Parts: sequence; structure tokens; C-alpha cells
Amino acid sequence: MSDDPDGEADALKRDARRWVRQLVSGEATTADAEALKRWRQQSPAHESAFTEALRVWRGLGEGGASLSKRMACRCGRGAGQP
Amino acid sequence: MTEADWAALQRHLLARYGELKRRLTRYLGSSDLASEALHDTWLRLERGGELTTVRNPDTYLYSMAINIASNLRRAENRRLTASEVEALLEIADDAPDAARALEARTELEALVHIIGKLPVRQQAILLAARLEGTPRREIAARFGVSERFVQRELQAAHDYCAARLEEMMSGRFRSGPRELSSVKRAFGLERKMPARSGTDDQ
Repeated sequence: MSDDPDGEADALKRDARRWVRQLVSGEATTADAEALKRWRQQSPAHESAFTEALRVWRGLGEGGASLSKRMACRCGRGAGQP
Repeated sequence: MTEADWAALQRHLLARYGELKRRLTRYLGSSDLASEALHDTWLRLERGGELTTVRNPDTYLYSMAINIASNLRRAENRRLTASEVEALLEIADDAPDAARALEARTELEALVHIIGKLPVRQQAILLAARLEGTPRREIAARFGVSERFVQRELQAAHDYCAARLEEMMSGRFRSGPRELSSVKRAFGLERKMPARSGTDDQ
């Protein structure tokens, strides 16, 4: 699909995920925002790796919420609640 | 103190500029920041106003410049607000169509499954970070571990989920909606790859 060797593409994705985690860490600064902007502007591949990481992060939110709900239901039943 | 005293400090700053700059540069690690701080110190002296007793003008100017530098740095590098982070997490091109909606639904099911397979502590850390938006520092305090540990576990969980998702979704949507069932079938096959702690490449 891509001319990138797998390793390079994977590294890009890993870095994109690292950026997302840095943003939500509670420690992100304006300098980080600036650095992220520069990172994304390096190439279309960088930008799309970041967008993809955002999509997965969103999915983890929805999936996690759904899983939590299901686990709560199961616990609720176990505890004899309706 | 009087205006004359402020003017005296300004003269002192000029006379001692080279030495002050040298000391500040060493302290701040940046000659640019040192220059900027001294420039702002000059402007501060220009403004005048109340002035406490100055015992040692060198020390006085040096401390003033350091305070100004630390304010400058903070101003350049403050924490992002929640809404600034929110804006950075927004996805620009997000027009949903039917195929995309189905893919999203399938992905959601896959992710529920994948997150469910995480080791307990990784799962708890991921959910705390993702669902509650808990800052790293608070997660560390909650679990009685270091921030570094939280960072590592979160990375392991995140990388695992992304890799598994990619694996499960690859090629699913080339051949149409029927593939949904094969994604579900794939759920049974994925026990071979547990998320490992501490796979940290930083």
C-alpha cells in the first residue's frame, strides 16, 4: 500500500499515538502544541498518521465506554440488582 | 526612592551589561533569553514607581532579570487549557457516509473486544486516561505508581489496541459489509498476542 518500509510507517504511527497521549496527559504545553504543528506539517504521511491516531483514540473512548457499561451491567446482575 | 535612583540603576545596568549578560546566560542556558530579560529589566526601570532599598545594585538587577526571564518562559510555555487540547484532538475531515458508519460500528465492536483483553491494570489506566480524562499525575497517585510507570503502561495498552485493531480491520472493507461476520470470527483467534508491560521505546 505504501512505499514506506513497514518499520518506518509503524514508527510514524507510534509517534502519532505518542503525540495524542502527550496532548491528553494533563502536562501538554503551548510549546508542545507548536511542536506538534511542526510535526504534522512535515509530510502528508505525518498528517494522516496523526488523523488516524485521533480516530483510534476516539474509538478507544467509545469502545471503553461501551465496555464499562457492559461490565457495570454484569456486576449489577451479580450484586442482585435489577 | 526617587526617579534619580531608578536612573542610577539604569546607568548601572548599562555599565555592567556585559557581566550581567554573562551571568544570566549561564543561569538561564540561553543568551537570547538573557538579552530579552535584560531588555525588559531596562524597561521596568524606565517605568519607575515604588522602589525598595537597593543594597547591592548588581544583585538587585540580576534577581530582577531572573524573575522577568522566568515569567517570559512561562508565558511562552504555559499549560494548554482543556479547550485548546479539545481543539487539537478534533478531526478535520469527518464527514460520515454509510460505508464509514458501518466501518465505525465494526471498529467499535472490535475495540470493545480488544480493550477487554488488556491486562487489568493496563485496562484501568487506559480507561482512566481515556474516559475520565484523568491527568497522568492523578492516575499515578490513584494507583500508587510513578508517572513514568503510568506513561509506560498507557503506551503499552495504546500500542497494543492500535496494532490489534489494524490487524482485525485490515482488508475488511474492501469486499463489503458481509465481512462483519469474519471480524467477529477473528475475535476468537486473537488470544495469541497479550499486551506486554514495559515495551517502552522512549
